[in-house]
Amino acid sequence: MQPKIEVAGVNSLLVRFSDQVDRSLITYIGRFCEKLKQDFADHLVDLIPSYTTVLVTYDLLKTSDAQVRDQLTSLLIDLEKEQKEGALSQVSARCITLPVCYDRIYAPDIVELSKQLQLDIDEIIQLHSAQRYQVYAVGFSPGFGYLGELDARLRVSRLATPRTQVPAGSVAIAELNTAVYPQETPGGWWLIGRCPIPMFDKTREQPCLFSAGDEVIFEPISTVEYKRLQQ
Amino acid sequence: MISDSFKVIKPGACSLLEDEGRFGYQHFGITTGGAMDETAARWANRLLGNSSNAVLLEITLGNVQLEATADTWIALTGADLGLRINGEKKSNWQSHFVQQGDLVSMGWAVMGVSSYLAVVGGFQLKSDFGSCSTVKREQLGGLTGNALEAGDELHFSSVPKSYFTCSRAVPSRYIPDYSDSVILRVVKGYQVEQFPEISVQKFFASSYKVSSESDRMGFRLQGEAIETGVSGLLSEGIAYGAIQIPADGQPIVLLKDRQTLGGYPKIGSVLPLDSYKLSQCRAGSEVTFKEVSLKEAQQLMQTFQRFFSKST
Repeated sequence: MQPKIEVAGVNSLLVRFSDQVDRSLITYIGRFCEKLKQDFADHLVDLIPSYTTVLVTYDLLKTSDAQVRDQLTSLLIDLEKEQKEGALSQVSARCITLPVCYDRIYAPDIVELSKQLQLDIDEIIQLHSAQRYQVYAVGFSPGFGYLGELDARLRVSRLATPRTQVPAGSVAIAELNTAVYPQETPGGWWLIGRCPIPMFDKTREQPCLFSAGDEVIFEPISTVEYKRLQQ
Repeated sequence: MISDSFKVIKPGACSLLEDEGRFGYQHFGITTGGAMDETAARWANRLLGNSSNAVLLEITLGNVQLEATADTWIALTGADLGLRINGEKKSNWQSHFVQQGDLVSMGWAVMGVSSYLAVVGGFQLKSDFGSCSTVKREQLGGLTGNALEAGDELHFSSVPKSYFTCSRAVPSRYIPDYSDSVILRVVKGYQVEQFPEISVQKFFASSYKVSSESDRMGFRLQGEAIETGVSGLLSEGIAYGAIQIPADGQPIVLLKDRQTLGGYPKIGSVLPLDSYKLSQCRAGSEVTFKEVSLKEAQQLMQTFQRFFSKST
């Protein structure tokens, strides 16, 4: 792996680890972010990890492009060494089970999807809830996790016309991913269920239910159970 | 001691409490928010000797009326709203003493978009994730995560008239003219190498118009379509001022309330000083792009930040 450091803005650099999605990269990127926060906390403004990249925003009054590049380069060398020695410490990944009600009233796209994918509705539910997903990235909106990867039989491109409002808690799929919409936002993914647990709550100690690297399992529940959990 | 306040009589079209923004939480998907035009916002705070992160009111297009329940000094900058205190006309880009019972009225902006009303010490309110900046989409910051409403109270710590010996004004050479078309200086980004050369030339040679579908998330521009030749990108972090080119080829400049991740190709990013100017442009304004080196861009921003971090 030969990460590249690219200019993203006046005080932002993008560290690109690869051009391909790779499950193991998430742990590597997680460790990179941890080390970066430990070593350069006071120069950093923000870090945005994603599938294969980390956007690093720094404080122009405390450091410069050249200095940040040097620091990132030596950090990447250390990290590579750690990995070669098998000493790459694991980022503390958790496995979170999310209840999902796949009832038609919460799944406005499931009938159309079953036609398009030529699968029974039960098969869609079964395939969606059988998988153990990894959180590849958190972003777009607070607590929105890109979970991958979907079973190949469930892959479908985004809706031709995105909805202007997707209800909060909607469980959705598109392309390689599935996700739960934390807030009511616009969205272009296919809605196949609803989760009663809030993805983001600013009053919780951990406002986001999960972070990049965690694992997620969906567990089908009945409408009655959904309503009970929602309270 | 913060029962002193401005009572909101008329909230205006969209008035938001803002500071410099919410930093360090983008990995949760939380945007930075913050004053759209940092130049005008920093001047408002500077006129009152506030820290540059003090909470002020960003008024979009105007029509705001406030009643003071205690004495303080205020400063108004940005788009001219024809400020009046008890009906008496007062200058924009200046500080003014306001007495208990005074009615502070601001009309509609004729040019520009945002105005900034600061108070000594900043407005006092609880923060979310270290910032009071209002982001409606995320329901964070402000009094309730939303724009001001009639009846809201904006708390501050009262100061007497003697706090300042006289009113202070921004020197006229620093007061921008919002009627001009803008030139946006661009730091070229990493994806530009993948764009066809002809597209990059077209981008820098064309002029664009600001679309009416522009907001705190981003400003959409209309003009020559830019073909990127780039597709199927994985979502990645978005920098402030990033110029995103979606499939229709019409550039979008991403601003303070931008989404944290996006998968459209980016030609580069606008120098923050020029993004602040862009945020004052109305629909139909003319925008052109010009390249700036990273080194020069960094020097310009350092000068700006140092100037406003000095105490006055």
